[in-house]
Amino acid sequence: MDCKRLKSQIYEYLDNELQEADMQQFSEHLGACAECQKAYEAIKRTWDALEVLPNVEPTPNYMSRFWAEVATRQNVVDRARARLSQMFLTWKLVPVYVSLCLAISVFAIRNYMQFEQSRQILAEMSQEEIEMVEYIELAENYELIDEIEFFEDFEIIQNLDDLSVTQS
Amino acid sequence: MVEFLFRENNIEQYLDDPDAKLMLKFKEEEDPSAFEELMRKNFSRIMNFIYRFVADRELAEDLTQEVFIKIYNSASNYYPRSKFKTWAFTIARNISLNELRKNKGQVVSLDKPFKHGEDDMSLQVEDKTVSKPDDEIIKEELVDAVGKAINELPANQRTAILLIRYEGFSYEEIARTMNTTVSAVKSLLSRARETLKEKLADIVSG
Repeated sequence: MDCKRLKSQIYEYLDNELQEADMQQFSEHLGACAECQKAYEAIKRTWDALEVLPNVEPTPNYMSRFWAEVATRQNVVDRARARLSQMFLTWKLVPVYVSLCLAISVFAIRNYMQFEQSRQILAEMSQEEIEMVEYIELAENYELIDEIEFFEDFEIIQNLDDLSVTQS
Repeated sequence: MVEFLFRENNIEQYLDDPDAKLMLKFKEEEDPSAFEELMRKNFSRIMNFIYRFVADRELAEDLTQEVFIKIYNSASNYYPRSKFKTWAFTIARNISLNELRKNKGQVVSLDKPFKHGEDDMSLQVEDKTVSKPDDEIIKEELVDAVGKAINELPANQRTAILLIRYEGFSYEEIARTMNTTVSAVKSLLSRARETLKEKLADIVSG
């Protein structure tokens, strides 16, 4: 191992992240090289200095505080749930729920009947009639399309540049 | 990308994590003593991490309570997809970052020494009537300088430094906690160390 490689691995060595073989080479070189020792010591001094930050301990009642907080929050959730239940799960609202159910049922039955009717009509139609239905929008605008000479106009617009060149 | 995909494989290994076992015991048996055991093992550690992050003891304890309430509320859906400690520290980091965002500029003042409640170092330093041995004063200066230097680091670098220096996490564990790659962690650590080296050069060499 050379000095350059050792210096690039100092942090990994301190973090215990070097492979076993690299770790051994690192230690051997460090033991024999005064310059590398100096670089290593400088970095290690800063690293060791971080150790001075004090540790703190939680207050002795942290566990009971925790369970009290859990209970308080649980109460809030329970109260909210109870209030919602009171609001929506009450006999007074039964007519509203029944009306809603009836309305939804009527709507669903009506849609189903319309769908069945359309299917029957479609089954009785010939292929030509089906195509007409598919292009119904074009049929609606047929008179308008027939009146304008669209394709002739389009050709004139497309060749406008050529025409102006010829004129000049 | 490959690293992220690979991580999700082989999740069975986390079932041997003692803390994950406690969490599963709490989930399956609803045994509060399992959760209390989990708290006894991890509360102080997480609190110290948050304390070094926000530099305020009381706030650190409140935020640690929040971390454990989050863990408690997640118990019903818990399945160990990583080590318990990396999961818990991810929650701690997110809660600390949210707190910093919420009180931008108020929680961590760069000139503010670390607050220890009654043992607040600043109170001791400012008390001119009490004479103190030189080495104690030097130590207090060092504590303030180190605390300030760490607080001045960007949040990501600070997280990485705190996890490696005080929690003994590996690069891989830091990457999981911060949801990033090992090479990104190395880069964060390298930048953080350069900054710390510069800021602490005078006080460390002196």
